[in-house]
Amino acid sequence: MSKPKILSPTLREKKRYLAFEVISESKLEFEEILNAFWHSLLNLCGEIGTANTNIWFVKDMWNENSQRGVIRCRHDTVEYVRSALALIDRIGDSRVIINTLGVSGTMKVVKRKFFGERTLEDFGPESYEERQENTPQQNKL
Amino acid sequence: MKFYDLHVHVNDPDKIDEIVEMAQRLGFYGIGLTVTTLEELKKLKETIKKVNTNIDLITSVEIIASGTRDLKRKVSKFRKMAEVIIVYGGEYNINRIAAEDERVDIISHPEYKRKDSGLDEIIARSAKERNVAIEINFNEILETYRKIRSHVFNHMMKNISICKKHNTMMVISSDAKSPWEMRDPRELSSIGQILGMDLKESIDAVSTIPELMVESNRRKLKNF
Repeated sequence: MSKPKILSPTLREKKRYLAFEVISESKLEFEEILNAFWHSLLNLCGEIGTANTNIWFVKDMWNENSQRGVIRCRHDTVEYVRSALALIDRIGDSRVIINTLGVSGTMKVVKRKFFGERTLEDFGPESYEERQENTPQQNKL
Repeated sequence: MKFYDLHVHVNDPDKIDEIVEMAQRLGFYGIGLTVTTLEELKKLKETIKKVNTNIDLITSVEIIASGTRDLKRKVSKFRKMAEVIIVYGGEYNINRIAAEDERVDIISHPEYKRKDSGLDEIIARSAKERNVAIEINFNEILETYRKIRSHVFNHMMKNISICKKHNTMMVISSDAKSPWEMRDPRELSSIGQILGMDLKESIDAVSTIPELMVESNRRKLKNF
């Protein structure tokens, strides 16, 4: 299927990624949080306001063990999304606090900061230099 | 940066640990444990001594007054005992008398159960002169839905615009009745931002203003 051409950088929307953590009485599933969030955002901003936020849930980033996930939105509507998350107080039978951990411009930083992901760069020249410093110096002739 | 929430209710003094644990998780530096009566305050002071945490525990009293005379009597009664004095607003007379009293620190939800915003320029001006802060109450938003919530938002927006004009201090607090109603300080400030505050104002409302308030009150209480 053919796609429209990529827009020029000035016309592209600037995105922000919000990492959030769910504090709840019992562990929750992704879809429960999704429904609660849409309900809260539509109540707070209305349909036009929600359309303006250009919201997107990154499903792959949901971690069920640590109860952490990522939402993508437009850069100037971060505060609306954040307060919509704050206004969720109950999902199903369990009481809930949704705590935003931080905001970032790229997915790479979100993964590194809030999900503890490590790339090859972490094991790169820095660690090599550190290793050099730590090793005892030999007597030079 | 040090974040404070000066209005967290303690219904049961034995459950302070839960509140403290949640505050630590949400990243607060200090929390104001709020009670309404003298007996509760005495019990709270005893239990605070036993709690062992890094979090700054502040005693605050919410004064629920039936009239203006009652308000003045209760303020003079509690002022030397608690670090923060919060007045339960809502009635116009009480809002006004509280704003004209130097001993009061915060007027809580001045728009509560009203058809107007509960603040006017006279109150805002006198609150500015006497260093009384106006509270944006998060719990009031959390408890209401749809139509009523939109009215609450409207009143809060009006209050914020009046306070901004007269440079009156604003404080955002959660007014939590249980640990599950507490929120992250940055989220509280985001509520302030969507209601018309600037980024700096909204962050000051959960950090600098409460910090200065607590510091100055502690200094005054030492001199007594």
